Amino acid sequence: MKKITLGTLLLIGCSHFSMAQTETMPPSEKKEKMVDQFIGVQVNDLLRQVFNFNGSTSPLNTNPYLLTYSINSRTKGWGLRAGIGYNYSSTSSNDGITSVTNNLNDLSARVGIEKACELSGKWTAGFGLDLVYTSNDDHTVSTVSSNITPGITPFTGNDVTDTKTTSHSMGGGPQGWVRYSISKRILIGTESSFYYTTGDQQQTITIDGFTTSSPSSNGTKHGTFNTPIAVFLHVKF
Amino acid sequence: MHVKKSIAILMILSLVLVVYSCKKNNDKLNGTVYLDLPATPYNYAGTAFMAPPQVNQKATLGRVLFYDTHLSLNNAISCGSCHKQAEGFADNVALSVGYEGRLTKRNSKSISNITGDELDFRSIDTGFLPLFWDGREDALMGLVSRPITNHVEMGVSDFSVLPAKLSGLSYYSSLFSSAYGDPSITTDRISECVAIFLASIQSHSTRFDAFLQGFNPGTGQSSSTVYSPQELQGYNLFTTKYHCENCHHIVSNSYTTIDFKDIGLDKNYTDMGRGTITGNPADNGKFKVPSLRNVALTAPYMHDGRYKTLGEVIDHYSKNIQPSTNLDIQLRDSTTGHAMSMNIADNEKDAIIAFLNTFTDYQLVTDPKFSNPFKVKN
Repeated sequence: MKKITLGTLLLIGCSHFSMAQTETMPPSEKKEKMVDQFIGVQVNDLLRQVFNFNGSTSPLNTNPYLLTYSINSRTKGWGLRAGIGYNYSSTSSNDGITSVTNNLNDLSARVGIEKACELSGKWTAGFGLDLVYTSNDDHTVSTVSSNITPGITPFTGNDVTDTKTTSHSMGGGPQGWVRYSISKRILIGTESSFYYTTGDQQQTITIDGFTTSSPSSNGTKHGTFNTPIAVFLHVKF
Repeated sequence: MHVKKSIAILMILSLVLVVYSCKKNNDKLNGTVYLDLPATPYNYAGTAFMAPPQVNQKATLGRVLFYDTHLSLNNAISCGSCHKQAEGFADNVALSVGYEGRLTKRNSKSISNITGDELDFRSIDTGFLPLFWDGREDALMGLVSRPITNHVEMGVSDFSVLPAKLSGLSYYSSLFSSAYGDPSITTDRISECVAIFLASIQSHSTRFDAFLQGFNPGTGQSSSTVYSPQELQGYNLFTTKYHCENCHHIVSNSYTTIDFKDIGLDKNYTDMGRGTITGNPADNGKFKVPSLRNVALTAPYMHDGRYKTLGEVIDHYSKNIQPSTNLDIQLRDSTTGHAMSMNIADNEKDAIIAFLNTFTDYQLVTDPKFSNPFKVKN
């Protein structure tokens, strides 16, 4: 699912460039730009499909932000940034003894300020502060036989267990990035950050219509260091 | 215009794929589920030294517990969900799926011969060998509760609530009675029975075991003729030219190792491994050297399941060892100290893989005494 979305976004981005080449700029818009805007797409999974030298299949990258946007002053370098990532996954299995359906919804969003600096003609770097929000919503329904005894006995029914776990966390922290200009409009880069977040988690378990454990809420605290593994393809406009 | 049309088609196709992927599978259980246990328990003890009383009844109960999804918080998964008999009691995915569909942090290790190559029940409550990838436990009874209480794996945050839950299941009363003389369920009894079952999962019926029977330590040769020339070449490459035997003690110590090694998977560690347990920076990036028993069945490989095939594992040693901080000295060039490249030739790679394939125990993966006792009849 993530790959399909990525592919679609890249295709849209590429087609935008191809059409942009043919557009004629009106004379009134020929004044010098005050800001640079960047749209970034995380391309790790796509790159892994194309270049996978060591055959690794493990999900080492934990940076959740699939799409990023930033706008920076061309003169001072200061700017605003935002990022969003969403992942939905649904799996189910049924071996005749246990049936399980999982639905996972993960949302990550961030906004922040940053200062961009030009290192050389091709290289730029930046640093800043982000506010982050993360939401996870898990829903699992499992069904097992309610009457299992040694030997073959008549089948009498199932126990259906419905588990819902939701967690929300907020926080923030410093981040830094570096980008390389492949062309005038396309840049490739990576970023590193340390986000400290606090939040709560609630879990409700219902067995055959009866809630057997009341919602519980626990304070959760996380310090997450994102190493510069995520690769972003940025479009400048 | 043409581009816009293409994008529209692509978007519609994506939407169709999303809708198709969201389609619910049938979650009804339509068959008769029953517990298929023999009237006389299987023999799990063999000729083991100091087998506990009622060992076969306890192992039988351990087998039921091992495969019972009621041991997870929401009855979704069992120990056997991630340690599959057909996969040499490992999992066939890089990271296993927990009770809520979340992925575990590390690859599920094989648990056959978990306490070594000899059946020894003393290891149940006494530390013998480091367990897990990072050696966080060294006694089997301690190991049992770890995945059950893990918030991603089986989700039972309080192990002490499990006896009350299991007491509601009719089949446990007779099983605990025959193992202990009374039907009461305790956490210690649960741990002991699962631990006995785990210890009993022993694999010895491989072609390599037959080869070793004719082995002469003095000459380093075997009189056995079970190996093809290619497998014999693989054996020699493994034990002499590339010194794999130095860490995977398949000949000298029956596959058993207690070592933790950094084999240069990543230059910068993404998982500190043993270092997270000891807090010693010199242990960062080190993981327990896995047993190679049934290695052909236990793919994918490494602590994070990054390599899908044995060929990819050999390619790592051949040309992809990274210069990590704690890289094992045996994987460094003896003169420069840099990460070495073994440059294993293609025919050598084939021979080593042929040799590794002789570690497969087909009897283990079909043995009914280790199989899932919960059966379904449609």
